[in-house]
Amino acid sequence: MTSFLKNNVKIDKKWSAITVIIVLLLGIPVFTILVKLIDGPGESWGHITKYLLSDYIFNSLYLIIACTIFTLILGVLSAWFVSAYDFPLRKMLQWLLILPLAVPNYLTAYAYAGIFDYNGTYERIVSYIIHNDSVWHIEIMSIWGLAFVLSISLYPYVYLAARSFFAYQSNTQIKAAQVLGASRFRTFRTIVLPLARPAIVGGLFLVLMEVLTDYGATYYYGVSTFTTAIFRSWFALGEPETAVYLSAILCLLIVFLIFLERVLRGKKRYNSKGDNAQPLERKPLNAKFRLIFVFLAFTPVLLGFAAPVAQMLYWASFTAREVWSSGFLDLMGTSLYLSFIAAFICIMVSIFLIYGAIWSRSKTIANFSKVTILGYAVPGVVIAVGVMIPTLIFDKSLINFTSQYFGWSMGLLINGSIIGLLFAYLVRFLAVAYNPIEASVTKTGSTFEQVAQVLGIKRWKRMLQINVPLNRMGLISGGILVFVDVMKELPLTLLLKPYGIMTLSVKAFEYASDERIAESALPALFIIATGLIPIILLNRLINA
Amino acid sequence: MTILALQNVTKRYAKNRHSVLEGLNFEMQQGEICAFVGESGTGKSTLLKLISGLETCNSGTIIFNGVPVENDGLFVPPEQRRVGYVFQDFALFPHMTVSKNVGYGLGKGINKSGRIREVLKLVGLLDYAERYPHELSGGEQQRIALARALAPSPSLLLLDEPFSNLDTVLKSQIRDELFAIIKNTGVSCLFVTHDAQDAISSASQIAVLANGKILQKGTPQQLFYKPVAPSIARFFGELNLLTSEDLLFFGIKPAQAQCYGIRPENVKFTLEQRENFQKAEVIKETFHGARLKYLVKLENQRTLYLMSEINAPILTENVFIQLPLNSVIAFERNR
Repeated sequence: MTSFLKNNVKIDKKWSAITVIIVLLLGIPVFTILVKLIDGPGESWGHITKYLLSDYIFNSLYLIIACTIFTLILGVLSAWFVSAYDFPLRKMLQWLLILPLAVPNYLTAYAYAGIFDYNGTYERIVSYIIHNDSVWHIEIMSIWGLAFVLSISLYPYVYLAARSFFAYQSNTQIKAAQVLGASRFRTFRTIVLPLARPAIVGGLFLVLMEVLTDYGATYYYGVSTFTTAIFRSWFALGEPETAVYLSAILCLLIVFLIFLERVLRGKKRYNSKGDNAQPLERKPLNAKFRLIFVFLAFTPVLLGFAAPVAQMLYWASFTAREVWSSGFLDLMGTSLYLSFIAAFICIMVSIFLIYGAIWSRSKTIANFSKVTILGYAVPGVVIAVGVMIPTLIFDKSLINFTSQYFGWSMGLLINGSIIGLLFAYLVRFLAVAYNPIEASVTKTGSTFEQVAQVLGIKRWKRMLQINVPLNRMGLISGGILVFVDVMKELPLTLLLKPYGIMTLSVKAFEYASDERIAESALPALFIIATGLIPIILLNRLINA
Repeated sequence: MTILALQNVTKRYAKNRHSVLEGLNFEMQQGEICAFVGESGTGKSTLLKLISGLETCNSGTIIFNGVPVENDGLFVPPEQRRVGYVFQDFALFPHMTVSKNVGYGLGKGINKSGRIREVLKLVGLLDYAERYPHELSGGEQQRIALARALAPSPSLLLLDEPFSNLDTVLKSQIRDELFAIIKNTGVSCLFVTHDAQDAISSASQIAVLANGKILQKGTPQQLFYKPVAPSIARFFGELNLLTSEDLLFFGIKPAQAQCYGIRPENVKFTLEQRENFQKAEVIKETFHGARLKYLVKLENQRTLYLMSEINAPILTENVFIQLPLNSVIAFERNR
């Protein structure tokens, strides 16, 4: 790299160097995991491989298969229904179906634990209806319950991918099939579904990533997966080495999923030309089944959003006053502050990376800078482990250095500090800000900046006067998305938050873990409320 | 004085791909208006990006006023080259008023508002200073883009496809006005276009680009009357391509050339048999306004296009054809 930079006068060395340094810094957690693998696993590794690893693998596969089937059914059918048929409330249903995304998995899990508890909401409602106290108990806190909860929270990823495909794909193939005499169902099965497969698999991939890396819901329902095992080996067993090994296996699983998606997609490229893409023509729904179908179509929203939110509201009705008075405003302040700072940092680093790649005038640097957005594919727990280890090493050597040469005795500087936490957020959520900003920069094009450049305007001035104002929508939406993701983030925050600092998500988790689940409702409702903002924005974007 | 010189300039966008520009050599003098003509994809816009420094060449030297700005060991960034550049889509900053746009490139120590007024007056849009770009027509946007490029008084002005974004109805009027403004300032100007008509009516020197190389350069007259290749001749109008056998068929002795051609309007024809005229059958006619274009078939089975006189009666069946010797173009190149 250095000789390549030295030999080429036409490459801007300053910006190439800045870009490379940012990329390398962001890569630290992943490099750490790789380097630590060489040190070998911890003592209990043998025990884990002998007795537990098969459990982790079995549970992970169970969840993958169950959630695949469930989210595909919910997501694809809903998307087809709202895209191909006209019925009352269709427009409303279209965006209501996204709402479960506003509720983090662990909060849905808490709510359902309450709904199906002994003498919980479900049992009370049913016994009221059948006038009998002996209602069959449903044990939701099990692996199938977890699969159910994750599926109803995550199906919107599939729904969104399928719906935007149905909305933007060319209508002509469907018309052609119909002219050839195919029924509507046959057209769906033989034309629409195969064409939409790459898009749907893309949505499903996001679901499975979340399933594999979920901590809050999985831990609460007592299911052992890689993510919960990583936590346990670090905190219960005090073996970071084992956590690193489990992290590596989890990453391998994800790489395998990415690979599988690529292989399944194969050489198929169905992108139709944007020019003749028209939305599907919707058919009015047959009057006979109308009500039944419309009711069925609303069930995903009821299960994934309305029921958990109602349960939370019910809990909040008798716990809110007490939770509010126990320093809830401080909690809110901390969460908002952390999310805001993290969003700001992610925006700034995205700008540096995107424009650094352009300003470096080097294709190699531009491609290299794209590596950073892979951070989103690395599970939060793994990033936490990857941040914890190097910051500890850094702090310890700093302590040694200062005590040796200056006689100071100081504590840990970055580890367990807000800097470490914010750095972890940056690595994890950079892609969330980077993607909309890059899309905006691509759409705006480079011409405006080139005009200013040719007119002799300095770089920082071009940034402030041309690039920022022209891309403000991309910057804002990138920021909002990071903001909300940080608000609801759990495992990273749980592992890395400084002592004495508490966020809404961690508080909700603590209440739930302390058998005070009803108290988690107020922080939960606040997280859900902020989560609604980007969903409304997202819906506008798809419709625009 | 030479204001711009390109020496062996080569540009390739990716390794192993063929070059967009291959060993280009070109010079232009102070105060000249030069045009690069070529079909899309021949590297015209790339050339302007290289001259302005928005792209870098793979090899070669670019010299401004005798001073190199780019070679194998040197790269002057675009901010320091100070050329005027009018982009194809004009690229007016949508969030700034006309006067902000025009004054954007003016540095400190200049009477900004005075200079803005001056150039707005030059392009005849003084009253538009406080408008926003979306409130302007295409032609007005172009003149503002020109004003913005001219405001810092560059010594070289680059125009990328200056007329491709304008309505064809008004195009020739706008073109003449625009070049009148440019000539008025005395700035040296280089523009690229795919429309040969733009080039011959506005430029004093024209270079024709094809496959990354200059096929021919010269004055508009040289290119129109003495094109070196059929592809250049076709830029300026339709062409019947001829072989030496075709010439012999008409009793013309071929010269030492790769191939020959004649424009349809230069083919001579009569309705009755004459000496040295060849009989031909009318196959197809196309309406071209005041004139008609005919496709005719000769007795040796070759076909030719010819153009009728203005408002001439419609030809039927057979005509008799001659190729006037002074209208036959001999090409040095095949394509």
